[in-house]
This record gives sequence, structure tokens and C-alpha cells, in this order.
Amino acid sequence: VTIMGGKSQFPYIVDPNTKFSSFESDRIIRYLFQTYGDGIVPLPLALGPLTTTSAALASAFRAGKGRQAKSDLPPPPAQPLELWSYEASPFCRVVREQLCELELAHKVVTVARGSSKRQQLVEIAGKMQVPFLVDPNTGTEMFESADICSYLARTYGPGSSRVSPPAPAPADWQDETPSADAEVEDAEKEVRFLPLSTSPSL
Amino acid sequence: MASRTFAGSLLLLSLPALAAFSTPALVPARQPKHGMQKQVEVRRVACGAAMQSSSGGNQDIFDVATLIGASLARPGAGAFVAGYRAEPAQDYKNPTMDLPIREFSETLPSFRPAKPLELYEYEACPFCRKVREALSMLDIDVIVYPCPRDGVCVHLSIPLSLSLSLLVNVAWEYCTHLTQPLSRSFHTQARATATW
Repeated sequence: VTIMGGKSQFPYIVDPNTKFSSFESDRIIRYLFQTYGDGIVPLPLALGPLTTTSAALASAFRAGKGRQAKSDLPPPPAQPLELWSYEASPFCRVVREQLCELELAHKVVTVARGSSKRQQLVEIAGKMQVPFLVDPNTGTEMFESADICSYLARTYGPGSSRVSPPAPAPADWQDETPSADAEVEDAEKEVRFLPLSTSPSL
Repeated sequence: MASRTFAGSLLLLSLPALAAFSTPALVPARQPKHGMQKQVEVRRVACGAAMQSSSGGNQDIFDVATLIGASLARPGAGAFVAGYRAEPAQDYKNPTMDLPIREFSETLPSFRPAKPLELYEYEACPFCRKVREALSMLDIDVIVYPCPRDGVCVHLSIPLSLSLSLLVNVAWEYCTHLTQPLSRSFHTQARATATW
């Protein structure tokens, strides 16, 4: 396990279905396309150093966001969060950065263009928009990257107790707690469901 | 150096697109329904959130610019499933747009992994991004365990058998890279120096 410690040893993937595991990104990608695709690695991922350089450029734009863990984090929540997103979406990236800095394990449901899971999202959430966060620990479901980021910082950020959001607000005004009365929650949902035009459906 | 100037020019190019995206930052997340007292409380909650999060909260224009720049650096990668095709289809409601167009993948098999895959990574790592792009293209769900720098990495409960196979894996990869120096990537070099 100690070999997992260094920063240069990621990504590390485990496939519990086939017992495959690897550190090597190109090997992982080859394996994934051979196992779950048609075996052909598509061009954007098959350019070797160019692929890596452009991916590094993407991180360079964000100037180290999503690299360093926040200090003084409370213990992690019991269940992993669920994030509906796909890699190319800019507004999903900022949410993933936040999840990464807060060290929150999360299940990513990928909904790239052409994915059949887009229909599922419409059935669950009412519309196709990413990022969409589901937090089973507090019963929260929300769109909008800015809202999600502030929710995460409030609920799981440094100094928060993880069990309940910060003290000053009374219970019925704490954002998206399950105890919030239904009327207020409906009103909030309506506000959140307004077309706020962040839907990055490219 | 060249990449930095390229990054700068990309940033400039993406600036005009910002107006459309920056509006959500101005929309309050929650609106008080009635009463002055609640307004004050809401404001207090909002302030608390802003104080707690250094990078969270509303996305400012710079954030949006760099986010779009980051996506432009990898044009299209991870936006479409592998073998993406779109064709007109009558009586089909597209979940994304109001057009009778059916979007689907020609090449992906109908089965998906029974259990979601597990990925240990951090967001800023370019190699991790490649893997995440592949997962997006293959439409595979994955449980991400973030392992940022200086993190406690609380998720690392790897069973002994797995960690042994891991060691073998790493040793094997290291040996193959020793024999094929040309194919050695920067990543493995860095790992090799860090681990061995």
C-alpha cells in the first residue's frame, strides 16, 4: 500500500469485474477499450505525447486546482456522492475539482453525448443538465456548478461537522437538509430549476 | 514556454464566449420566500459559505474562462461516446435538444460492467484525465476516490492480495520500460524515480 503514496502513481484503476488493476494510463485505456469497447483507441487518446501534453495544458489552465487537498477536513461521509457528468464539460470540471480537494469519494455517472443514460437523467431530474449532484447522505439533489460547489464547501469543507451544515441558520433554512419542510424545498427546487443557462450541452 | 503562450492565446480567444456563461454567477442560489428575517438569515448562510470556501461559491469570470480553456485544450475528447452517431428519427424525443434526432453509439457493446470500476486519481493529473476521458467515451460508470496531494487518502483500504498483485504489476511495467527506453513516458520516468 505504501507504493500508493507518491503523487506520480496515479491514476490507479481497479476493475472488480475482471480483477484488472493498473497504474499505467495508456495500459488502462487500452484495457478499457478492449474490454468495454471495440478495441480501437480513438484518435484523441492515441496521440501519445500530444495527448498527454494537451491534457496537461488543460490542467495548466486551472493552475493547480484539484491537486492539493484542503487541510483540516472532517471525516468523510458514509456513502459516496453521485455526480452525473462527462469529462469534456467545463462546469463539471469545477465540481470534480472541489470533490477532489475535499477528498470526497463519488460515483461518476458518465453522460457524454450519445449516452443512453441521458434519458435516465431526464427521468430522474426532469431535464438533461450537467453537473447533477446526488448526495445520499443528506438527501440532496442539485444542478448548477456554483451551487454544488458552495454546498460541498458548506457541508464537507474545512471546519464543517459533516453531520449538519453550519449552525447559524435555523433548521428549515439550511440548504437541502432532509428536515427542511416540503414547501420551502419545493420553492427552492423551482428556483434551482429555472433555466439558468449553464447547461453545457455542447 | 510555447505552451504558456498558447494557453494565453486560448484564454483570449475564449473571452467573448464568457458573457453567456457568466450570468449564473449573478443569480442567487436561493431566494427568500417571505419575511425580512429570513432574508437576513439567508444572507448569513451565504456569507458563511463564502468564508468557508476559497475556491467554491459563485464562479467568477476568470474561473469560467479557465474552465472553458481547459475544455478547449482537449477539443471534443470525452464529450461524445465512442462510435457516436446521430441520425434523424421520427417520433423520438432527444433528451438534450428539441430535435427529432437520435444520438447513439455504433460501436459500444450493449453490456456494461456489472460493478462500477474504481479509480484512484486526482483532478489535475493529465494521465488521470486521459483515463476519465476514456471512461466517458465508453460510457462506463466509475467510483472515484480522490487522492490529492497532502490528502489523507482515507479510501486506501486495498486488500493484501490486491496489493501484492499491484507490486507485481508495477515491477513488470518497470521491467518492460527498462527494455524499451523509447516507449518510456514521462509519467513512468517520474514514477520510477519516485518509487525505485
